[in-house]
Amino acid sequence: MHELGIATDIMGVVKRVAEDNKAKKVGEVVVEIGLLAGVERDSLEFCYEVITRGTRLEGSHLKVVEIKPRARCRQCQKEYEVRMDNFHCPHCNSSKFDVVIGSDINLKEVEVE
Amino acid sequence: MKRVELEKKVISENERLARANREKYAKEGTFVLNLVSSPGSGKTMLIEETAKRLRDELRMLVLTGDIMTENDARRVARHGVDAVQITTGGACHLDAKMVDKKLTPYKDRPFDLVIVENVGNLVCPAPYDLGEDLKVLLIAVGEGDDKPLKYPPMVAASEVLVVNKTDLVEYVDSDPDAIIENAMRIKPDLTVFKVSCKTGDGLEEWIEWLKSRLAEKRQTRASAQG
Repeated sequence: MHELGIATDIMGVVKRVAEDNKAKKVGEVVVEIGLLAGVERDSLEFCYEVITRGTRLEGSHLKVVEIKPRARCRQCQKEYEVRMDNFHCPHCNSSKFDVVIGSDINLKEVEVE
Repeated sequence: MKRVELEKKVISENERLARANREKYAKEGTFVLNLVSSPGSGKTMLIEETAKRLRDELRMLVLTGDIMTENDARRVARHGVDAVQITTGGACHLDAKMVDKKLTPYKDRPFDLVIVENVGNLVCPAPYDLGEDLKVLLIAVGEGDDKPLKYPPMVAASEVLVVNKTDLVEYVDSDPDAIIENAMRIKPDLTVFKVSCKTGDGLEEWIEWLKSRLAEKRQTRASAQG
């Protein structure tokens, strides 16, 4: 339900990039989304399409790359991909870890012409 | 077409406002709890029991969030603490703006403790920072002991887990320790309490811990002010 707000934020940044590059047209917009960010991919793509209609960004589209969360174990210091049903370290089974990526939304690339 | 590479974290408007809230409440010395759970886990009752035990020593405000009705604010206000309802109309979570709007009228007389009762929902409130000091997740026995595994983003975002309605264990075939174990698979550092708001069991530990966190914040503020 909050994907509309996120799509609006993305659109704001993309508009600035388009202006800075004096773009006539914007194509693909690549966004990385951590699986812990609580964002629904289809819904975000749909919202972006709807709110860019009738603007200079019309015709651009989101490409969402999902990022699997990674954590670093505090005991053995190894970094690992987090299983969504069990965040424990798969190497030493420690329950002490810090999630290092997987909660953020990052704008990676904007295609301009 | 050329590709412009960026490495930009999308900081939503809500995150910006939440940061501003957090700074403001730190200056004012207000400790803010964001209480999240499914509908019906006992958030309002935990707040009522907390209010009864702290109202004489703290200036306290409760913000209750629901789609409709002012029932919860009325329930809480009976205990002699300030309570303001946020009716969202349809929104499935509270955001930083809604919370600050309700706190602004009190800015000249800040509270020691603000408890925000979020809309009952284990999905949408997870990424919405309100500027709180602590996100407290409440799960009642009987909701399903594997509930934390079904909603990992919410567990990962919380610092405290309160397992409520422990008085019902024998009737609902639930094991509070299994709930806790499942939650700790996601977030091992959770501070955990087992309580029954109905019988009062376990509430003393919760209150004492809350008081110690409040004292900690006051101390940090005092030393920051030199």
